[in-house]
Amino acid sequence: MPRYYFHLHNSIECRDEEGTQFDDQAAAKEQAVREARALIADDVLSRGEVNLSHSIRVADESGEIVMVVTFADVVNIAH
Amino acid sequence: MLVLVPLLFARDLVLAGTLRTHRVNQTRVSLAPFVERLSSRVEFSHAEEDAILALPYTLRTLEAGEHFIRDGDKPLHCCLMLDGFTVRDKVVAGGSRQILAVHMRGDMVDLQNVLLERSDHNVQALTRCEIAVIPRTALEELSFAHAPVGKALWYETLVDGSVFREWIANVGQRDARTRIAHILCEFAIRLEAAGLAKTSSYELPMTQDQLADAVGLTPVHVNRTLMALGREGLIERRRRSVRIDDWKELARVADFDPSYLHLPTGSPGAKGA
Repeated sequence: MPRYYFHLHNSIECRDEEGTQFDDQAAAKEQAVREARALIADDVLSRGEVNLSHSIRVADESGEIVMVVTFADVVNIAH
Repeated sequence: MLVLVPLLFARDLVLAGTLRTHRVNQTRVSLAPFVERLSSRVEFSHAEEDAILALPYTLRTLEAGEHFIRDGDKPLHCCLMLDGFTVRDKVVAGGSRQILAVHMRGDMVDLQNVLLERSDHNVQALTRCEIAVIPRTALEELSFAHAPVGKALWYETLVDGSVFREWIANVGQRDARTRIAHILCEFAIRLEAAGLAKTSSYELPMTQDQLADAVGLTPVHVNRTLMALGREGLIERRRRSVRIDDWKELARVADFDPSYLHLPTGSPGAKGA
């Protein structure tokens, strides 16, 4: 199974040195969306603040970024 | 048939003799730390020490990821950790896993299975492990034949329960930073008590995915939280190695009080580093 690395770009850069194995890129994308939503939820709970420009950049085993999931892409906010 | 029965009987005797020799040869090497562990809380006479050393067991190696017992299995044996790390976990309907406990050298992983008829969770190797596999009937007999040993084993299950209670409080009520700091403090104290590391620096036996399953967070959230603890100057992490730079402040952030581990007085780590 291919391994993907989830680098978080928010107030600090968090490089993922370990990575996680997924069946395919679609499964990795599902996880990236879950991750972004979990981080948003924690930011809301702990500080009442969210920066929707933050993102998770998913790299493959060669280090190439294969997708970018921006926080704004994973939630619908009604006003 | 009439001829076969005595032949089979004779063969069994030979086998039993072979097993016995095998067992006696290994006993001094492998079960002595178990005697030491159990007698740290309850005083034993020589008879009790000898009875523990005479327990039948087989040595087994588990590869990382391999199960010792699965949820729903009928238990026949208990698992004494000699080397490496195991976890107890449950998998919920959606497929997510909750790691319930981490075990290391000296721990009896599933002592409740001496009496319970069905395993209610999985025991899985985190790393390559060496274990002693002990028949549960032998442990039950030992407990009732030697009351101090029974008391010591009872003590072990009670401490297990105390650690579970702390983990429920950790996962249920603490924020991400506190949860991660807490599990780092627990590892520090338990690894030192097991003689595996110093409180100030150790190799984390878990990946960030496994840590996430233990604290009810996602792996990226774990990574972000570890990095934040690093930026605050509390720890330094290089891949799996963790160095605790400010124990007092980390323990404060972690809401960590080691008394729930009920370590015997005088054991390394009993005073909380």
